[in-house]
Order: sequence, then structure tokens, then C-alpha cells
Amino acid sequence: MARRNHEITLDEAGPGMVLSDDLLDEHGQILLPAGAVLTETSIAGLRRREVDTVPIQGDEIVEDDAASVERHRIRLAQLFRNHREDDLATEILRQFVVKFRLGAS
Amino acid sequence: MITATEIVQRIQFDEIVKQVQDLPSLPSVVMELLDSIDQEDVDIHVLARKVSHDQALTAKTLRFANSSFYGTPSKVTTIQQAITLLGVTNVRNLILAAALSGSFPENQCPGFSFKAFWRHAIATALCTKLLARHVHVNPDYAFTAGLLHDIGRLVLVTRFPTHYAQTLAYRKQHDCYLLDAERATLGIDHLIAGHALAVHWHFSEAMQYAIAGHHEPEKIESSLLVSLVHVANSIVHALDLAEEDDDLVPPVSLPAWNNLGLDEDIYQHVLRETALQFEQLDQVL
Repeated sequence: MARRNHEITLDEAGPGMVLSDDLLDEHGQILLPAGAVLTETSIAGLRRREVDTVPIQGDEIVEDDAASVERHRIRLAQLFRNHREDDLATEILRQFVVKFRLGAS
Repeated sequence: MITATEIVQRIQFDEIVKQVQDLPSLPSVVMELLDSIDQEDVDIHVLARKVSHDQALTAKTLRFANSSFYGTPSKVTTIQQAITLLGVTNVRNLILAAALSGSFPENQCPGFSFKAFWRHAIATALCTKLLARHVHVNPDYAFTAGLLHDIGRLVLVTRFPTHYAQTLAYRKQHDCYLLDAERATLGIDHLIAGHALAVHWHFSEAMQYAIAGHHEPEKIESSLLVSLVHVANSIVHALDLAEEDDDLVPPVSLPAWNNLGLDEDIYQHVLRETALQFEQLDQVL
């Protein structure tokens, strides 16, 4: 299931948030591994090390997004309803637009 | 209820030519703008003054200029100011779009949406321009070709509204491409009508080809401009920008697609930018 990961500033970070990627220092050493759950203590530690931003795991795609993906999927099928798959150039365009609208599959 | 056998109201080519000749000519300043697209040294200030004499054209151009697409810091109130803020080429495109939409006053043709027509025309203009950069075609020329590609449809709708209402009813009933519905009901299509208009308005030969050949580019002397408009047209249908419920994506010609020879990264960029730029212009349409 796709997640909406994002970079947030340390000020926005709070206990219970989960890192989406390894958090590295300037030498490439891992400060906190991906999947680590932030605590008051670890946030304070990151602040001492002057970390500005942290990569945070998003929620699994929320219902609204899933609904919008479904809406686009249905609409695209409708727009291309006359299309035959052996029509090569149209098929390539269709795949590009599907990827653009629904994201990489 | 219309059935195929009942449809006998064909339009003769001569009638199209006659109707096209009755159309008002484009304002001379717009003809000058079209002619000047390839020229670097055009005196835009002279043109700006001429445009300013046409109230309706000026008002419409400024309405476009004040859309969030251009994100001007303050309200643009004169053509001259628009040129300073947006640059010559942007203003040239705006005047053109404004002049064209002013040349075909909206009429009653059941089933035809002028709004959807212009949404599609503007979106295709933006998309053709975005694609053109990658194949080294003059982007303003591409914009114009995209804007004009379906102009024949306006000739049919405004000069033959009763005929065209039948075409639209046929299309709805058969859920086919509008092009096929035109051929079935009228015996003529918007490519032929558009070409007649392009000749009447003294458009360049490349522009005439782009208008006449955008559905079947392989049938016409193959040029990059025709291929660009052809591919952009399908992209805009696929992006659903005209917001027509029963829209259909026209098939993409393989020779035209290969003629452009662009890779997926470029297409993803063009899809994104077309949707984004259109969204910003849409509010004034």
C-alpha cells in the first residue's frame, strides 16, 4: 500500500511519528534507522545535533486519495473506451496518462 | 429519433466556401500578428496601439492577461502594460486567442458547448507549445496551430447550426468520434471547413496543413507541426480538460508519434505542465 511520506521540520516532529528513511548525519552515519518511532528524548537528541528536517512516514493512502484514484481509473477507461490495444501509439499514450493520473503502479 | 438512413442533409463544399467568404475577416491587426510570428523585429508597440483601438479585443486580451496564469503583481489595464509585464510573445498569443473567440459569436446549436470548444482549443494550444520546444519548432507558431486546429468546427456550428445539431445527435446516438459523425451526416468534416477558412484568411501553408491534417497526419504532407497538433489533440482529450462527459480520445497515429520521437520523461513533463497551466487559465474562459 502506498504511503505519503514527507519531510517535516524538527519543530513539527512529535513523539509517535515514524521515520520513513534512515536519518543520517553529515558523515553519512545513521542517527536513527528507518522505522524508528520518535520520542521526546530522541527529538531532543536530534535538536542537539542541529538536525533541521526529518523524513516522516505518512499514513497509508487515505480514503479520499483512494477514491480519487478510483475516479480517475474509471474516467480514463471511459475516455479510452474506443481504444484497441494493438493500436500502438495510442496505447503508449494511454499508459503515460494512466501513470500520470494514478501514479506509478 | 434520427437514423442513418434519414440523414440526407449534406453540405456541399461550395456552400462551405461561400459561407466562409461571408465570415468577417479577422481584424487586420490580428492578421499582422499572425504574419509576424516568425519575425524577431516586429514593432510590437505599433501593434499594441492598433489593438488598443479595438475595444472588445482589448478588454478580452486584458481579461486573459489578468488570470492567475501570468501571476502579474498588479492588475494589467493597458496592452502596453501587458507587454511590459508579460513580454511580447505572451501578449501576441493572448490577442490572438481573444480575436478568434470574438470572430465566432455564440449561437444556438443544441448539443454544442462553446465553452468546451474553447477549453479544448486553449488546452491544445498550451500542449502543442510545450511539445514544440523539444522538437525545435517555434513555440508561438505551435501555440497558434493548436489554438486554430478545430476552427472548422466553428464554421460548421455557426454557419450551419441546424445541420450540426443533427451531427451532434448522431454522435450521441452512436457514441462515435465527432469526425465520423460529421462525415456520416454532412458528407463533409471540420478538416475541410477549417482548411477553407485557413485559405480564406491567408494562413501560411504550414498552418493550413496543421488544420486540415490534424486527425490523419499520415495522409497529409508530413510536417512536424501537423504531428505536434495531432499528438497534442489526443493528449488534451486524454487529460479530460474540456470536461465533456462523453469525450473520446482520438487514436494517435504511429507515424506522427514517431515523427516527434520524444521519450516518457518529456511526455510526463508535458502532461503535468499542460494540466497545471490550463488550470490557471481556465478561470477566465
